[in-house]
Amino acid sequence: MATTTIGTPAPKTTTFETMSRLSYRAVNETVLQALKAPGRGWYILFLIDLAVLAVGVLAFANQLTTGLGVAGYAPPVMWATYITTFVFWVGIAHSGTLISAILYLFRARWRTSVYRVAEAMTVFAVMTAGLFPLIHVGRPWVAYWLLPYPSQGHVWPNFKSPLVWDVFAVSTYFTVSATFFVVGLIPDIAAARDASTGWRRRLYGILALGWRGSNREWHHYSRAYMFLAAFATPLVLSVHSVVSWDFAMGIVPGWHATIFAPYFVAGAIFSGCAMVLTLVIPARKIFGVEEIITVDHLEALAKLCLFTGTIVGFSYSVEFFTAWYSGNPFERGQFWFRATGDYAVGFWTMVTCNVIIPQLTLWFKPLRRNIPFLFFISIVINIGMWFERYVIIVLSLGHDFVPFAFGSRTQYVISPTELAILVGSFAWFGMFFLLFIKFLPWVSLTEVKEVLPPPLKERTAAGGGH
Amino acid sequence: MPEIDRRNFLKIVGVGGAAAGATTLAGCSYPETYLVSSLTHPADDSIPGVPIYYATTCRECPAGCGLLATVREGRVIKVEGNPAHPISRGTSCALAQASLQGLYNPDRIRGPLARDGQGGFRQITWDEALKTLVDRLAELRRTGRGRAVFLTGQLSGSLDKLIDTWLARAAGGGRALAWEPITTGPLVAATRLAFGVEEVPRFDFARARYLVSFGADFLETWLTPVEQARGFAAMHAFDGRTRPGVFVAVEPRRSLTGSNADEWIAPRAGTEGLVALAMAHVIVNENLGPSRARPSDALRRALDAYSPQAVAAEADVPAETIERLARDFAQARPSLAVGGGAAAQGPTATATLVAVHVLNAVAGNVGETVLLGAGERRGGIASGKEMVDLVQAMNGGEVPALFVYGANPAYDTPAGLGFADAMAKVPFKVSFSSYLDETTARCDLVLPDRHFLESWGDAVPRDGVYGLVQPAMNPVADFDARPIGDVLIGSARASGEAIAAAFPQESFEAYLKAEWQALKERVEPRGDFEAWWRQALQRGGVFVDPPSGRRADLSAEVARALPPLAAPSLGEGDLTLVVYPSPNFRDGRGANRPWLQELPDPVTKITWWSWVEMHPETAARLGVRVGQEVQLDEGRGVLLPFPTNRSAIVSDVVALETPQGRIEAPVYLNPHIRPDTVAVALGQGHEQFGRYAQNRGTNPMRVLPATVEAESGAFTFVTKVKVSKTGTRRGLASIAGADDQRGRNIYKSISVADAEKGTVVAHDLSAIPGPAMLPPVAQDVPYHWGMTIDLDRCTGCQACVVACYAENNLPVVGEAQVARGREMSWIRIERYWEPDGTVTHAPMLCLHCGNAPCEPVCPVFAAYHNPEGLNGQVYNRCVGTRYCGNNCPYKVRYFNWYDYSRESYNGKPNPAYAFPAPLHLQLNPSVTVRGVGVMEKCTMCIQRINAAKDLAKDQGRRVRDGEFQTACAQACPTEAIVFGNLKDPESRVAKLRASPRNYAVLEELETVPSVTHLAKVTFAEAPAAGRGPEAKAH
Amino acid sequence: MTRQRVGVGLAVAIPVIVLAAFLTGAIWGPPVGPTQPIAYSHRIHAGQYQIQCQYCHYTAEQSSWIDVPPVEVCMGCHRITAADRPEVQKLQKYWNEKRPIPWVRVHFLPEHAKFNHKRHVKAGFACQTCHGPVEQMDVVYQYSSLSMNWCINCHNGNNELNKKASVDCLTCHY
Repeated sequence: MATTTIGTPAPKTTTFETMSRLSYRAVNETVLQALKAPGRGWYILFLIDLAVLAVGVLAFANQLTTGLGVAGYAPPVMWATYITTFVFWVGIAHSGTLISAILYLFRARWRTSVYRVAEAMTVFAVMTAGLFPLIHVGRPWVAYWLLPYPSQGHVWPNFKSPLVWDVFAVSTYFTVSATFFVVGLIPDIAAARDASTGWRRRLYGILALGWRGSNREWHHYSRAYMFLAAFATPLVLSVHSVVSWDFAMGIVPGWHATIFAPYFVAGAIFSGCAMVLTLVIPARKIFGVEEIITVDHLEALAKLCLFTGTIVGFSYSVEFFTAWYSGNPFERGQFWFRATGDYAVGFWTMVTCNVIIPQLTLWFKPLRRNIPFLFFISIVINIGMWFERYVIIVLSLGHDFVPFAFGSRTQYVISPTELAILVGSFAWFGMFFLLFIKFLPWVSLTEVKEVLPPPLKERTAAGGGH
Repeated sequence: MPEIDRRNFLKIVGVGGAAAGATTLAGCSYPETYLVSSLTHPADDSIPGVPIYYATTCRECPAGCGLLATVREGRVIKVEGNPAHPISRGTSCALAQASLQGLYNPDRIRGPLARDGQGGFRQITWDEALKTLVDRLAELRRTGRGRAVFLTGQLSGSLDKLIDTWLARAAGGGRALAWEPITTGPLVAATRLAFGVEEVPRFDFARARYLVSFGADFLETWLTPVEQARGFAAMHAFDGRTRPGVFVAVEPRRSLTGSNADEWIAPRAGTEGLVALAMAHVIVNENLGPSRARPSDALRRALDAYSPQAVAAEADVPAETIERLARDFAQARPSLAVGGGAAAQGPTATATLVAVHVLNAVAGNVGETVLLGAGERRGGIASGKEMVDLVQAMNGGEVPALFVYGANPAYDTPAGLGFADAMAKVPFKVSFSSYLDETTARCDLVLPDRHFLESWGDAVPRDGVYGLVQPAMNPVADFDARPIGDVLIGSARASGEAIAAAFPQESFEAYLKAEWQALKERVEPRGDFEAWWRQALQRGGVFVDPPSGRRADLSAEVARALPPLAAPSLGEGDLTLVVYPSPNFRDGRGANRPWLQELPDPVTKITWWSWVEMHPETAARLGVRVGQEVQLDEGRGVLLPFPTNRSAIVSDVVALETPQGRIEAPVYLNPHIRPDTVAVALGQGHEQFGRYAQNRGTNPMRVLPATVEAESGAFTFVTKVKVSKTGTRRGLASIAGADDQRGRNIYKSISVADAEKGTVVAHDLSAIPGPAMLPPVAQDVPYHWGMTIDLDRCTGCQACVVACYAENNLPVVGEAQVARGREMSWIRIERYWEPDGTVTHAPMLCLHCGNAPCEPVCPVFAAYHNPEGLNGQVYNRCVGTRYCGNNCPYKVRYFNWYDYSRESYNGKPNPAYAFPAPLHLQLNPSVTVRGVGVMEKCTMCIQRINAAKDLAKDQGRRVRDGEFQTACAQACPTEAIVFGNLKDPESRVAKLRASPRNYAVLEELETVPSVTHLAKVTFAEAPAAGRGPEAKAH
Repeated sequence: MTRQRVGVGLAVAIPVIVLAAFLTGAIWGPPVGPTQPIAYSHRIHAGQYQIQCQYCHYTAEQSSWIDVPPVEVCMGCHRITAADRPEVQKLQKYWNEKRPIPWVRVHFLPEHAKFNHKRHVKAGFACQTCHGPVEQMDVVYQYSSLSMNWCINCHNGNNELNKKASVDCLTCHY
């Protein structure tokens, strides 16, 4: 079981060494100071973000009125950047739930400091991913037909279609992780409420759902939290398995493989953890919470990356092996094409970013604890994982059964429209994240305190509002 | 409320469906549209919604095939072959199918034009136009001294006669010349020299057991392609009864016709005749011919020189090959040798064809498969010599007036001739063309003729085949055109009593009827004319048995007409250029039809442009590169003009130079051309001729010399050229993803021996569960529609493709989009170069799988299976996820990337609109015009299926086999595609499906298709052709 | 307490009433057809004078799709009949000027769908089944929704003849 091996050896001792110096109050202050009125820097960042988003929106509007022709599709490549990016964001979402739910159940205490960020990332990533199917389809205005609703016409969605499974999987996932996120926030928002004044106080007051911190509340809260964690856990595996079946259920050589579900889940956590690193490393610096999110936490994430990355690398080799071993000319043709064909660049980018670089570096502790390097590699992994989906989708479609219909006469090249929308999706995600980090406690006060030594008599026991 | 006339009415009713198709927002309020009542009952008693058919004759080329025009709501929406017509027998070709786009061509001339001061034209009324004409005619009669010239295309029938009378009387005398760049002149001359009769013989392909073609593209443009294709299928296709005949192509560049050959032999250009003579030499020496075919001693002696060894050196063909061919040729009786194409338009054209005649003669084919006195009326084409004289006369101011109809010499004569410039020296030039082509653009007066689907006429391609042309609809309202016949008669009758007397009838229709009265006296003296005439109109003409044809002996002088034993000199240069007629555009007349532009060339699969065919070795030697490159498309956005990247096959542009001129075109690597030869197709590179043809590709005529061959005076299409790289590169929009099957053996072939043994091609998959787990086609339904496609019969002519465009309202998307793989052609012909040197032409369309991969993945049942075995695609349920397209192993699903059906976006014209008026009048009202964002694909002509079932229900019966066909099956000249009801064991398709050659493409995927293929039959014993497919598949 | 009850009552009642009103069309009243270039009244022709529908719409049972009758048909009677009426004179004006009459389209079948009149007439359905009480309409309006649900409902046999018909998509969508 992956998570235990990572959960248990989480270096408690060091964590305590670094964090035990903190009092409950200190925790509250350090974390809640992030909620102070945003400064100029934040505003500039936020405006830039909105500008980028606007370009993406405009590009989509243009596509909507003109037709999907403005995207770079070159049949037989009829799925490309949009679906790639969809899978990418769904993948990002996963590690969030892994860290917040599964590791919670496994009592991996190191998760406490980073889980809130991870969980927020999950919610926002799913919100981003959810857009792409709509951007991708030819007639978004009738996309609601994928939802089952009764009608005299007796027309239902086709429950055989993986795309319909997708609708269920993703919407369920969003509902659960959003709930989990909100519930987890309640006590902290209460803390924020107590620390704030004016309209913020009123806002937090509402969001805190009248949390008083009474024993009974704590009792129910922890039960609910535990329950939701248990509920979210299977989703981590199911959702991305379903997403992988969007491909595995097809007959396209390079898609039609049993390995896809585990392969995708591993990939998802791989990219997810990388994304957590990308977000946390700058954040902890900006808001000066190095003491709460220590290098140990980062290293734990790095280990998780290493582990899942190894699974991903293994999956790549297995794909090639099965293609060769099956003797199926179409499978063989496809994988030969991947490594040597028109799009080989994409393939080798993927291999370099996901296998070669991480495997060569992350095995070494000094590098795992080198924060600038971790930031760098987290970016590399994100790029690599985007390309993984690109390779699976575009390359498989570009070269399937009938030679005359191969895509090789004209390659798929990402168009400005798609690029604008792709970048816009990051802006969309960034927008929510910036708001979150400014308006909600982005490190879980409650759970961090859980791993602190309880406030004893001799210490000044001023446990904040609790 | 806008003023509404008949035309808008057609727009509304016709494109009502289209307009609706364009508004895809469900539930949006409909714009106010009108149901405009016609004033009176339709003259033809037609009922709106019920098609009626008019029999007529195709005028797209001189072959003279019979057509049936399908008329809906007063518009011709489709043409089919006329089953009653002896030449086409119910089938047609790509050009005939595209004739509709000649009729509705947006660039058709809208009314009579006259020169304005500044080099342009101005619209004038017909009264003005006729007045001008009459005045100039009067002047002509005074001063012309009978030197007026009337250039026409090859005409046979009443109009031909009328023109002669008109010239003699109204124009004060003159000459009529019939100009066709693809000429039969050398064939006529050769027949005169060889047999002493000046005519085109008839070639009976169907009876031949062994066929050798010396460059004759008889499946493309030579003589009568549709009829010959049928004959070829009869002799060459495997039918399980008789052993199929062998076909060997002898030509330096392997044409579409050659690609159907079992063996391709590539002699030096111009030496085809020597190969023929060497074969004759062997037959005579080894005494293989029948006794009655003994050659004269003179000929024997003459032939001695042409030993295979001697010829081998000149022709670059191994002597053994020649000997083998000769023996096979003589043993298979009857055999047939035909000569044409570039071989018949070289410096030794006539001699080459004489050689072919000699070969036929010594093998005893004359009177068997080569029939003389068979009443073929395919001669009488003006020779290059006559054109040279004409140009001299024009330059010398000797031609006071030039009338042009159905010919475009300013475009399709060699640059060396300088016809275009000479026209400037003619004081009065009149064109009767419907389109502003190069010649018309240089005329002073343009009197646009009606399209043949709007006018009266007749065509007699062969004694006994008297085809009628009748108007199938009222003239398209956009165009104020008048039939040339009426204009000629009208102008004559307005030129004074004396002349008017020679033209008793007031209209060409009346003139035609009078002519046919005379005809009736000849063919059927008894009976009432009107009844006979009406019957003729119904059947599309009068068809009596043509003269059976006879054998003839070689004339004594034939020995003197043989080609000299040496490769002819072709001028200065490093490579030999072979100019060949395009199968799509013929001599260029088809270039303004968007369908034909988007229709891939059957050999190279390139659309919308010209290319230089070059052997890979030669390209390597010249350092010509062909490869991937990223380019930018033109902007297509509505809000933002975003350009879109694309990466396409881009190749070096080379220049071909001769003293006459220089042309440039990108290179296409073709392994099926001699390394010392390059080839360019006729038909592109128009300077005029409308938006679809203008400034597109290059016209090889620009580098051809005006030298004419001595005997026949024909221009030569073969010349040496200097080839050089220009440094620029250009993409070519090809639809071929790969040129060979990559050893996947998807389109199977078996040897004749195996085929005769009845070897089963398909694998037995019954052991594997799969179809068993599926619900079979509904039991309580009497129909399961299916199709078989015989790979052994398909010649790759692509008539089916254009037929599908016409029937199913397929949009034309343009070069940039085709280059991105976005063509919408529901059926495509895949062309593969096989390792054994043969070429496979494989039609691929939706196979309507019983276990369709596209169906389960559609989230909304837009792709679903219908009880009658059809794989349905419901446009207005489609969300456009395109998963079906990905999951289709045959890649036959096409997505609407843009809104091809929408004229404009709130005022702004839609650059993607595919049916600019009046092209939209051709749209089939029974078929939805698809909007943006939906998938589409072959429906097996569901509209025809439903119509047939509707009719059957009215008559309380079931649909009969062969009662109707899909558009592709109906067009196919070789009946390679057969459609029918698989549940009816007596149906043709069911029988064919029972053939051991029947198999499902990619059967290992267990898709259980309703459309299956029949394996190609190859002659394993015939050695592979000279050059295998070492082509770099891009 | 009681006030709460009332509140709850209203909260339930109001939507129900609105919905009911909407369904019965009580709010908007009967649909109104477009104004035609000539105020032709089906009530007078089909109702009062009992002229058979197919006297004018004669293609209904011969063709898959039906067209408005040619002006000639109107003139068949109105050369003499009621020649003095202003609306009839409009008609004659069109006829004399050889201009077709731009009738405004009343019925809108959703796009990508085909409806075969002949089949339905031959099956023995009255025109009124789909077109409503045309003989009572001065101005014809679209009586049926012509939505797919409406089609399917009838094809499933919920019609006066209890006839079932194919509900295969390709029957109407092609």
